[in-house]
Amino acid sequence: MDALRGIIDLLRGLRQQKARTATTLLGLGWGTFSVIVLLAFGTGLEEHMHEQAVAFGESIALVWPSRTTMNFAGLGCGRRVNIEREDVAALAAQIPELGRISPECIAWDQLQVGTKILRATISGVAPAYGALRTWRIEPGGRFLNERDIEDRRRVIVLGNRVRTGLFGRDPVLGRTVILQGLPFTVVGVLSPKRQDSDYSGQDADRICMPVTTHEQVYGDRLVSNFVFRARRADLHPRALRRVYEVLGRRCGFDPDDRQALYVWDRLEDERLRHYAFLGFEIMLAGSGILTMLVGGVGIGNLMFIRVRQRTHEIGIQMALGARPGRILRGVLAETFVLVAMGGLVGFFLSWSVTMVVRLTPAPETIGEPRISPAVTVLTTLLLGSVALLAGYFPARRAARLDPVRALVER
Amino acid sequence: MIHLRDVSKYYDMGPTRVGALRDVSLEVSRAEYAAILGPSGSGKSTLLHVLGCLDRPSAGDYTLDGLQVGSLDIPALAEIRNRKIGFVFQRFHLMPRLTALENVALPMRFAGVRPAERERRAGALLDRVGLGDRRGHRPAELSGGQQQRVAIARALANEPPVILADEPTGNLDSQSGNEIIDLLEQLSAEGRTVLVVTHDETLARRARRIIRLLDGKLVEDSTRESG
Ligand SMILES: Nc1ncnc2c1ncn2[C@@H]1O[C@H](COP(=O)(O)OP(=O)(O)O)[C@@H](O)[C@H]1O
Ligand SMILES: [Mg+2]
Repeated sequence: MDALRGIIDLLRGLRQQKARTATTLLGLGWGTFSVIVLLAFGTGLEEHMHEQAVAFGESIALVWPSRTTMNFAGLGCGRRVNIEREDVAALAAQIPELGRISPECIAWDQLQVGTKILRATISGVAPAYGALRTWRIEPGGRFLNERDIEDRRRVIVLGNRVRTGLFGRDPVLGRTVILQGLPFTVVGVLSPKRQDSDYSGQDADRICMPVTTHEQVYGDRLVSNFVFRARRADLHPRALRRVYEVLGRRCGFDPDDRQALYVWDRLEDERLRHYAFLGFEIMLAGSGILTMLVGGVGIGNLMFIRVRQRTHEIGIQMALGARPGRILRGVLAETFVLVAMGGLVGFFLSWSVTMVVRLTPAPETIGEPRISPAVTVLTTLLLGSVALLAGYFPARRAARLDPVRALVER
Repeated sequence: MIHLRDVSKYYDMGPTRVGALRDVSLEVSRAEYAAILGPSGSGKSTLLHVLGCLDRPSAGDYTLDGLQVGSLDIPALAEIRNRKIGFVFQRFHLMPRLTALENVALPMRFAGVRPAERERRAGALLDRVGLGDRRGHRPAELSGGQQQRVAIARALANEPPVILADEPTGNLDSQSGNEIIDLLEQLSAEGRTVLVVTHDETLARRARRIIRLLDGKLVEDSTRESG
């Protein structure tokens, strides 16, 4: 009740400074707004990109064989590097830093169900591929398993667009698809995902089968590429170096010949993206903080005016025995009220903007702007510091007033 | 209660130095009622400010109720004003946006008295000065005499031993002025030390003790036989 009257009193007092108060509060509100909104969009965009990156594969590296550029063991450069399935198995066995690894043999072929014919990317892979490339499977189905590999089973997992292309909305688990004249059983369907990049087509248009079956059907001796993830992110560089060493020995190239393999290092991309975002957010927040500080200076000026306006009353309070600390806290409290008002304006504006943006199609491309708890806490702390800074000097002036002089002030 | 020894107060005005009080020595005992007289600019208000710990002397010793005031820091002086002094000013100096009751309760608030207790005691004090029915009025809604009575009630809030009044009737008509002086005399009769600055000789004559200042010097300090 007392607090409410204090606020009303403050606002009444500032009525003489209507324009100044309004612009100052708006300025602070705008600063708050920019900090929150920029960070909210940053958060949304980063989450969005992260999600898409994870959909493609988290912390993985993809490796394609290429051509040598260095002499090795009496062999010249410019030779094609060939990787066999056994070489990939050797990597798994010999590199303790490796977490998961899967070879991938790729064919581009046609599938048939009844009269429907469709072309798709046919990947022959190991079970680890599902986890590496984030193949989430629709309920009821499964990805490939070790038995499929061992027994060279004719089972396939369909990308979601392949599934609709062949079966529409019909149930598919256990149904048969004809490939190269052979019947294959559908054991799983990919849950739709949004991936940020692809190779040999999107996963929606891909089907996976056991790499052993693939070898049998298409007769491939060599793998097109392989995918791996280190046991821990910090082991990733070591794992990659060991891949060069082991493959260099087995496939005949110098382990220092970086060009012999083409490596798509997603972990490095993730790191770069993280720092790019951090820099970006620091820059955005920095400009917002500057605006807030300018608003804070305005609030400070307003409070100096307020202290001058109230000098007589402060003199009375001092004469009646109010200690300087009480006067100081009184002015600080008023400053906090003003800053809170500006801050609330900013919070409300940014909240409205994020809500409106969520109603538009924009989140599909830039993610859902989100005022995260971290952003809220950060902004609140910033506002608090602004209030302390803005209020301290006027408050100190008030507390140091000479009571006799303050009393005669009108 | 009050011991002043060779107290001076100087104001530095650029190159010149104004001696608002010069070597004033004074003893006032408990429950005394004294009028301070003197022409305008003679240092009466300055003396009252020094006595009320609103201002510190430039030189000399001041002991109030056994306390060496010169050695106290600013918060301690505030505490003394709060507990030991009740001020009454010519221009009332009430807080304009507070009600009569809240004005009276203000010194208790600074003393840390609980709200309910504050309200009860402030109400009783307003009753005492005859304004029990004006608790919710703001100063602007009260006459000058009523405002000054609120100010007296406020001065009594923390039961201080000393009441200092600076021309309390200066802004009032003679009837309201008399009522105020009656109230102040009652306070002294209750055992409080009351010092009243005035330049109204007739009012001053009602006091037994008269202290007269001229150019910052104490020129007369006389006590009449009881009358
Ligand atoms: N803050 C001040 N600065 C400078 N001179 C002052 C100040 N306060 C009072 N004086 C001077 O001190 C003298 C005494 O003033 P004051 O105590 O107010 O006199 P009185 O109350 O008797 O009219 C005056 O000459 C006045 O001009
Ligand atoms: Mg005066």
